[in-house]
Amino acid sequence: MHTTRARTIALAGNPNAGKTSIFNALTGSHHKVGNYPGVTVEKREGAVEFRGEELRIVDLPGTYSLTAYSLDEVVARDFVLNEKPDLIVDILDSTNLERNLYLLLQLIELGLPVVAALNMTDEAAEKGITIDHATLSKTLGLPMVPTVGSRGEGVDDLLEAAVLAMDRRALPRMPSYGDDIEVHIAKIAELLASDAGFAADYSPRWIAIKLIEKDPDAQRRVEGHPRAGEIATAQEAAWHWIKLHYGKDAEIILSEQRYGYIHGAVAEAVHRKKLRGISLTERIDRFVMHPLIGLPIFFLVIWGIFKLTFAIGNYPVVWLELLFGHLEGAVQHSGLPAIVENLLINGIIHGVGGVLSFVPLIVILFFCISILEDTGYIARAAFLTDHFLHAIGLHGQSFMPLMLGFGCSVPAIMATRTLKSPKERIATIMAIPFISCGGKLPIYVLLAGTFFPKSASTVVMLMYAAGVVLSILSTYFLRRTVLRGQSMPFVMELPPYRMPTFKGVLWHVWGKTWSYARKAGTIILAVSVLMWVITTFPKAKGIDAYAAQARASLARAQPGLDPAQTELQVSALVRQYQLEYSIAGSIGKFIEPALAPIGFNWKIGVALLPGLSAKELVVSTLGVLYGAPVSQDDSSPSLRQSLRDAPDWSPRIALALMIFIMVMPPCFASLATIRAEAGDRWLAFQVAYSLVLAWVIAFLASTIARVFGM
Amino acid sequence: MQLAELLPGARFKVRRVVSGGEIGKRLVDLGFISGAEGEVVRATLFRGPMQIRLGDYDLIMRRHEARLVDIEPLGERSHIPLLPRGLHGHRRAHGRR
Repeated sequence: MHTTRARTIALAGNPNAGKTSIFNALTGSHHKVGNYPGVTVEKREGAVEFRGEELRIVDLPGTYSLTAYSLDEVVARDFVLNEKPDLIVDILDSTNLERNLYLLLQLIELGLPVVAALNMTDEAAEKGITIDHATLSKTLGLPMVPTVGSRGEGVDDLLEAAVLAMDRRALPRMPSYGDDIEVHIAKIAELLASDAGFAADYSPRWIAIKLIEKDPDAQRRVEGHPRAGEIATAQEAAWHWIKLHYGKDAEIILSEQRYGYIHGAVAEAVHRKKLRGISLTERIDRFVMHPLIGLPIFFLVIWGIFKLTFAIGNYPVVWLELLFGHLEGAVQHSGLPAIVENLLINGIIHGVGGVLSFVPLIVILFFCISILEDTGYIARAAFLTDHFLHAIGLHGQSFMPLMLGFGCSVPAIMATRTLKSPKERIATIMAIPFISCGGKLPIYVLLAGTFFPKSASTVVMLMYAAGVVLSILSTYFLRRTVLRGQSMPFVMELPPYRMPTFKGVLWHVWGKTWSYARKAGTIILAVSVLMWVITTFPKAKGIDAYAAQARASLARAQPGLDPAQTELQVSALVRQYQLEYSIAGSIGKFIEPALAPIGFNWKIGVALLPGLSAKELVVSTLGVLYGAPVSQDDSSPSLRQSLRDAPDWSPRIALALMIFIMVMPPCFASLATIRAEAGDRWLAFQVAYSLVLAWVIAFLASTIARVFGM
Repeated sequence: MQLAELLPGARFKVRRVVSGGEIGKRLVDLGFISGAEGEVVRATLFRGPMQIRLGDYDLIMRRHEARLVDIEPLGERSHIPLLPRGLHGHRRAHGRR
């Protein structure tokens, strides 16, 4: 009884089967990305119009099976069980049909209409595989449509077959587990079906099969059944019988029976030509996965990505800075009330602008990583890095999020979704903030350049290295204490290399950039305004008198100075005065005793506060505190001079500050992302842990530096 | 003999998956069923993940998981005769069980 609700098609399939291309081909730009309710699993949903009807397409997570052991699989089956789509379309990778058919059989057992797409027929042909899809379709009892998703071929036929199947409400043939086991399945299914309510909610056969497979989720769903006791008895009878006759556990046997059924179906319809020669993938892998040169190649690739990111990225960064400069000018000439102008310029444009001008770098980084992903190199990287990562308690798949952390923590933390084991995922999330993100670079450059001029770039590199080392040590420690636990099995498909499609990569980049911009943008905007408020209010008393005084003493000290220069310096001094009197200044003075052992004064305390909004802002705040106008690039000669001249600064302090910033809690945007991906408790832990660690390590560094006479 | 003991290039036939529960199910789901044939494509030293060709596709797995697959070697390529403490906590002697 479908009334006005749009008919829904669920797209399922193995990872790497090309489901995304087909989803994109079907929905075009009409799709949105969100989350499945209550879990951190991405949900893509879109719409397509076919003969005047709008169809809703939901992209299920890519899975190999439908067990209860993996979050992705649970999400996929829950969606089907709870929302009962009108049809499931299973995208099959024709180059390894048997494993892909394994999922298909389980989808069929869910009891809904199913249509299959034999995708990647082009690659199958290259591998010498020919599939007689008519015969296979007849044997399995459902429509099967050849497609080449990457080129959009066959997608129209697929849609047509889908709609036809929905109209007919055609159910595919149920795979058989062999007569003996079928008896047990039938018995349990009969018991289950005896309750009309239960039978309306679930396919009795599917539940019966899952019960025999000892599926924990199915057991749970059956608990409320009126005949639960008899069902339990029938289950045990089945387990016992299978163990007796096959010598193996029921769950293993059912899997093997499925493959047996598949072998039979495939034997008739699929023919393989014995190919000679080595595939291109294998040729490339001989280098990329070589025991000796594989890792160096890997590091070269990473180095190349960063080099490229900064090389290309600088142009848009400069353009954006120009744009913000113009915006600032426009506001200044707009005639708005002074306080609003102040808010717009100092609060919003400087705050948000400083961070947004960073976005081009992030986009390019995403772009490079998306290409790596789509070609299949990421799996090779996981292979190369897993041994080391596993030793510290992480996973081969942790490598990409960690690498993203060098750009920005927000997308890095979001990228941990590919890790299926919760403990390893959270451990990776905890490891990311210690890696020096892009926002920390201006601070390192400023401080290293000012206080270690002869070895500035070395110092900066050392800071980066220290961040990585700390990340490793921290993970090792956390995984043996707070995050102790079983590691997830590492069994991962190694797909052949594939040419990434332009559209596919763009889609990836767009998705990642949009969620990053939205999250970071709103939070950074809010926090920038907050920072502006605490640095501007309350209005310092006697500010005009102070200004006059400053002007007078400047005139005395530098009589030949032209009026414009004088005004510039006076306004810098006034800002400094205002800052000291503001809430931020009070906070800085309040926390000064806590920072004193490290050697920090209240000014540094104040400078650290905007660092919570975005680390880049620490530099500009230092600029204000030391009365030096800071230019957008971090050369800031006047700030460097001011710092050098300041009696409370020294190389030791600079070092301690760099370390403190390296370790301290990340910016609000990152914290919000941690909260979204790991929960409130881990957020609180992260803040407390990194704050304490920052203080301790900075203190140690400061003390040790003092010993060395710095 | 365990899959983990094989050297690169060795071909094998799966006897059974030793573990039950989640990991056992996952291995079987991916194709490690009795009688399945495969080949070790790549194995770095004596540690680190292995690349296994199983039927039509390749996968990578850690030694730990590879120890859970009981196999029968095919053909002439040899295997590592002795391994440090494996899953069963004792040294496995050369030859079939």
